[in-house]
Amino acid sequence: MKFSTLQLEKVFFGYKKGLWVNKDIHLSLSSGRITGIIGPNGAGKSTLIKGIAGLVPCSRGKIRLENGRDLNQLSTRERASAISVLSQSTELPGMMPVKDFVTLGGFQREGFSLKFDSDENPKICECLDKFNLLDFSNNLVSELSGGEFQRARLAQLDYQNTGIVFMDEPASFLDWDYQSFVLNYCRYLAKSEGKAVCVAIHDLNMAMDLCDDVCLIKNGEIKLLGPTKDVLNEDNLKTVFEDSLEIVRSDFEGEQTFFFKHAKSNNPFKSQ
Amino acid sequence: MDTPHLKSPNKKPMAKLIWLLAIWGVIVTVLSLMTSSDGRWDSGGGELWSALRLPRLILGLIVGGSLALAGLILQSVFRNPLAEPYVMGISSGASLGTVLWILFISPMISIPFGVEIAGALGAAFAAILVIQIGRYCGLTSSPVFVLVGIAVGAGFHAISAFFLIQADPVKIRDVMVWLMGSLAYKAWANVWMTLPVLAISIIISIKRSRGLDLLLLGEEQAHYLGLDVRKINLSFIALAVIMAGTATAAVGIVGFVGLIAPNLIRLNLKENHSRLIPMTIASGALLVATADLATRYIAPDREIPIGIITSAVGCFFFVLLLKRR
Repeated sequence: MKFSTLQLEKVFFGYKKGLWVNKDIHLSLSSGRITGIIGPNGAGKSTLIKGIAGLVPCSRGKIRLENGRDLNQLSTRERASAISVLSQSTELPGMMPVKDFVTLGGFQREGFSLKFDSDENPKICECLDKFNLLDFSNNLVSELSGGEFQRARLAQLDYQNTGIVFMDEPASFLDWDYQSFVLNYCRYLAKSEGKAVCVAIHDLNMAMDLCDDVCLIKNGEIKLLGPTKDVLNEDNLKTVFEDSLEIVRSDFEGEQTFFFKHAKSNNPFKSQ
Repeated sequence: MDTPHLKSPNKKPMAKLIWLLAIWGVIVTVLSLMTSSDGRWDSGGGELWSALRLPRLILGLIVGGSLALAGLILQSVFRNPLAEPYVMGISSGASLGTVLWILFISPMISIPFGVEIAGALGAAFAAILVIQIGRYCGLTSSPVFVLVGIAVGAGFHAISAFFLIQADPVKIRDVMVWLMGSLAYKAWANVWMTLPVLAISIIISIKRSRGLDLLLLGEEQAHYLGLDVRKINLSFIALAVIMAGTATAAVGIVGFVGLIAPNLIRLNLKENHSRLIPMTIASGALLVATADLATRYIAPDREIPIGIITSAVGCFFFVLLLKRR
């Protein structure tokens, strides 16, 4: 059974008892919606994702799937069949061909009997084709460029095929072309496949463009959660980013649009 | 629209390697059976083969295979091409166990395979110590464990040397013979001790080889894809320690095989672990059997340790391979 909603109730994550990185988290992800997690560096965005994925201990609260099961009660494999995570970075497995790298996404379904039979497996071929990787399928992962490697990681995530998908900074270090590829893939997952997508994101303009809902996070706590248009305004953002950003309003085809830019006033290196 | 299809992979390197290993295997087998312990060519007799040369050859193959597989596993688990039983302090643990046994315990009690058991226990103790020290220091990244292994190995080595320097010369000779590693005068009993361990380890490691493939992506990503990293790490390390421990216990320390064999195969074969494992075992096995054969030709009048050959040839060969890469 594929789950596509996730409910966090009063959840605390932390590596040591009493020292929480994330405190009192209430968050719900639902099918077909993209939720953005926004906050400064060190606010606890990545820890939140790692915690939900089971890498940071959850000491209090419940993380429920739609059938009421607590995510923390599941085995690692069951958890990987419910949620998938695109982390900020992955170690480069030098000696692995791209097709095998993508095939490993199927481990949660097939376990140790997973076969690297991509030549006969139409699903792998389709997946590689979807991410324009067919020509590279026999290349080693270490031979790929940064953008191609990110596509291979997305293909692995796609092959894992879970109802709930987390992405931690999926578009960082990528050029404009690859960024739009990643953003369109997020939209495809939510809108065409009906998955619940949660994206930790730094670029506010990108968040405005992509997310249905956003939560603002600071010092490990969610300060505000709601539809993107309501949450991403000057007053709310200043509570999280203080004076480091400016908002430019413009009318674009009759619709008021915001652009965020870096504030010049709050800069110790500003030119005289 | 055409259905997408993959370009067929280049299977040549794998086939070439299988042929190479097969030819090497036949040559080593024939030469080992036809060469006497003093380096002369003689066909021997049925008894000579069954009592001396066959167990010697088979034990060499098993020991080489075990050390090579242990090296491959440790390198994948710790994601460090330097990891192998010798570097990780496991072999030094086995030496300390043996030194303590021969110097202090064997004069008091005598049990069959006492030296071997002491060696295996020392290896296990060293491995547990490496893991516990790593955890105590709060190491979360596996590659750093190799540094702990080097430190523990150096410490064990120092303790062994301290006891040895004070022992009487006859005992020192006993210990040195074992420490240097030799296949001379080994009987079928040693084969029966090591063969089941290797056989079971091969089955388990091939069945669980996807775990090693996943670990190459890093522990975090392996977890996201559904691998119970802690469990798989522990079971594979245990497997490597048992293999290296019994192999070292059976013939003494044979350095470098766990380092050369897996790297030799990895440099030539870009494949997943289910294919790397049999190739690595075969190359490690042939490496030790060849080294043993070489000792018979190089010094016909005495038995020289195979560890000397594997290390000498190994380091030369290794630099060549690195240059080729």
